[in-house]
Amino acid sequence: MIRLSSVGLTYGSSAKPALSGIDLTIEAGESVAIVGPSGSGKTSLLRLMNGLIVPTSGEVAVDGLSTSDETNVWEVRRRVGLIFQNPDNQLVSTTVERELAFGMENLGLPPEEIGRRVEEAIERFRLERLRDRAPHRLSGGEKQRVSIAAVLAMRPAYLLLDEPTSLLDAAGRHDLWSTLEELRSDSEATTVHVTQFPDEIGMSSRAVVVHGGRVVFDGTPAGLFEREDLEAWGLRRPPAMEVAARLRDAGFEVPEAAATIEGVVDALTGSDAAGVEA
Amino acid sequence: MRILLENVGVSYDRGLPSATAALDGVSLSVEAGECVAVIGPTGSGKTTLLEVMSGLARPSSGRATLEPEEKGGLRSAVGLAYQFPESQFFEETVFADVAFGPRKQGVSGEEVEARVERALSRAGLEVDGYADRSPLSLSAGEKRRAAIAGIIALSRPFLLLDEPTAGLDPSSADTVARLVAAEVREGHGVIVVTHDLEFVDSVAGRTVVLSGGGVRADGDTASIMADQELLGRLGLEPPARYAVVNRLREMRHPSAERVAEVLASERPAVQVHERRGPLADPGGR
Repeated sequence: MIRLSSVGLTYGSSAKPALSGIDLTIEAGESVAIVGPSGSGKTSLLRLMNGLIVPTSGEVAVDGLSTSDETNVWEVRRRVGLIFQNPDNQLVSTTVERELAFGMENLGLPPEEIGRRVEEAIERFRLERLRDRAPHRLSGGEKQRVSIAAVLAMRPAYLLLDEPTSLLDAAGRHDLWSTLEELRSDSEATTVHVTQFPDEIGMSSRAVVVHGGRVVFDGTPAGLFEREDLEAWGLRRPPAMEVAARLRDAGFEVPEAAATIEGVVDALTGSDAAGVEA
Repeated sequence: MRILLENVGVSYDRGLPSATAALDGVSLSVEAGECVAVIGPTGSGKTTLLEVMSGLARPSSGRATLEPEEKGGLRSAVGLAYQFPESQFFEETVFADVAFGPRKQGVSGEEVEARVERALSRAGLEVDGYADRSPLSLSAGEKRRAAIAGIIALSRPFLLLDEPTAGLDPSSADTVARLVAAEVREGHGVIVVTHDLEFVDSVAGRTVVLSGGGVRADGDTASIMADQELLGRLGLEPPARYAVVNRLREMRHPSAERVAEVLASERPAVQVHERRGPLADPGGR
């Protein structure tokens, strides 16, 4: 469990706190989407959760270990993996294979185990072709896949992802999503991810909206998309929901609950809903 | 004026075992005044294509030229904003950062000021509120737009953007869409590399599909997005409004064409072609 209690965060001499009054508990097995406009404090929130930064006030605790206690830093980082938004901030090695092993070497894992997990990561993220390439010479999306594979290989109990799919194509996004889903159903990892994609919010078990440094919504994705004030938070419904609304306006019978392409198509082709008066 | 690529090939690590062809036999022409989206799977050569078009990467084979030929060639005709361009801020104020490029070009102080003001307002960052702030104090969306403003201030005929909406919230992405529309309206050529096909839908009249370093398709955006077979094969997903219609057509469902008609109009959420706000004035140059 990651628990934030009355957390406030102020950077340097800045007058305005980046975060304030945050009370948030992430339970094992959850898949939490953190959303909100650019600059609302989402990335700061992630960084607090693995102790990369410590709160100015209040407390962040990972499985009971306070991140403000320096003696806990190593253990907190072992349990909580963080994937940065820009993969260039994360890649350090000369080949993809070395990159995958780097984190595990720092954890002091035995070489055989490292070798085994490297192969597993290469297979899972289809990196065979890139194995001997230099990470900094890869494309943006490839870098993103490598940095995610490298952090996952360390088997963190909690996985924090800062917009992990911003540079991926649709196939890459699906791959990552099924991997995260696997991790969750096998109880391998609890995931917390920042995203701007409404579709990815919809696939999470819980949505937390950060706006102006505060948590303004904490509930299910469906509950979030029902909110009238969504746009005021810089958010939007999934594109499929917008399409559904336009079709409804034109007289097609598409239920409010249709949030995916499949849902809209099913509604249009279902026996009772084929665009009656369009 | 146009950027012309003739049979361009680019290989990295030539002669080494790790040699890879990033581009192979690419022929393409982009005119000033149009917005072209370049889409394709991860690693298909999109960023390399931008580097060739901006004169930063030299083709290993074929030619990349500016027509008509001008002094400085592509390097002087093109402004390129990399992925996460905000990681390259280094000045103490937003004004100084945006002004850096034009100052390097040797334009007069007055002209620098005018260009910075125009670029910032185009990027939706009002001079009064933003010019004196540290770029590092801006929010992610503001940083992205300030970084793009730095490229706009170079006042070059072509603007190249690599994943300009990555990491932006939907309303910040809309401000980038409006910025692109305004540049195009003013006669600039804009080339956008992106995975965000909803963004493509809102800004680009033409779409080029890259895969394995080659051009697989090049046409108007609506027909590319309707080509489900092509997109599906490459692991790409069309914007939702096309996805729904494509699926219905695939099923030969009777509602397909009526649905297509309803969804054919522009996405109401963006309306980038409407002249309004700080983008209403095309600005003099």
